[in-house]
Amino acid sequence: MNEIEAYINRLFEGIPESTRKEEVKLEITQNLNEKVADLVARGQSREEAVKKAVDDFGDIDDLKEELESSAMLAKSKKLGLSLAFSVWGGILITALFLFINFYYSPNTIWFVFPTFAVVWWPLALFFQWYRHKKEVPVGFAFSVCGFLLITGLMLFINLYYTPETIWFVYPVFAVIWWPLAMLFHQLRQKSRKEEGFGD
Amino acid sequence: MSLISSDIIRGHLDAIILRLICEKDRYGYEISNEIANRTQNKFQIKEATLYAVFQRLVKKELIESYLGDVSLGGRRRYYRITSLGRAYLNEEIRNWHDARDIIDIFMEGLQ
Repeated sequence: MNEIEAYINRLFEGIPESTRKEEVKLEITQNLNEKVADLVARGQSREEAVKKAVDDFGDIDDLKEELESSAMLAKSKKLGLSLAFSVWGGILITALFLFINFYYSPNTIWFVFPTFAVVWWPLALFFQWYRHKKEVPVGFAFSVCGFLLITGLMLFINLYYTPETIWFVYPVFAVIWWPLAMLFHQLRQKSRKEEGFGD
Repeated sequence: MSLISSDIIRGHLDAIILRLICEKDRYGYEISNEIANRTQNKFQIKEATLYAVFQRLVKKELIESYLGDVSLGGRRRYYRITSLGRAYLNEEIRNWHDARDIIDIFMEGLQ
């Protein structure tokens, strides 16, 4: 590794790893080596040439920002594709269970159980994608959706199978602690941030 | 070159680099040399700035890159302008002419 390579490696240390980062590092190293060779050919010593190349390089902040935003964009695209796949996958699986349910056993509605399981897949990916895109905490929103889903399922089981006894409030009471805890956790984080403690 | 002039140029770096790539496919060091030569060293672009501009232009799909000939143990990465880049450059040139006409109204004829 020559001095230029070592210098570029040091400069890029804090930037998240990506193919683009490696390409840019390689490109800059190659171009700076060419500059050094050019300066040496014009009569400077190698030490002087390397020093000039390094001194002239400038502040890497803008480049860092561009690379980070490129990496974010690539990850966002990847997450978006996973989300789209999970939505279509969820729809297809639900449609299959709907068909099996109503074609083979139309007297008992049971497709809601596999649907309930499948719906967590796109839901989780949606919140992962949203958190990455907007850079906001999504724990509370996810817990509210989860709470509503579980409540819906409990309500269905209760009213469909044992309508004479209302018992769904007990599991709902247990589950409501989830969004409640998330809400207070989020508020606490916010207030810590405002007080200047950070995360 | 004064700091203010340098700031004015910095606002048009994307267009300047696009213009150079529009003439022919170029690589980074060639572009920084070309800028220094054409301005007779009155303006020298910092490499860090140049590569940030490349990233920005690639992201906006105004230019694209490819690996070219070998030099000093590595292959040079060349940039070429896209059709979107050409349209953007033409728009920037029009904007520059408009802005220059307006500024000329106030700045010319006093000295």
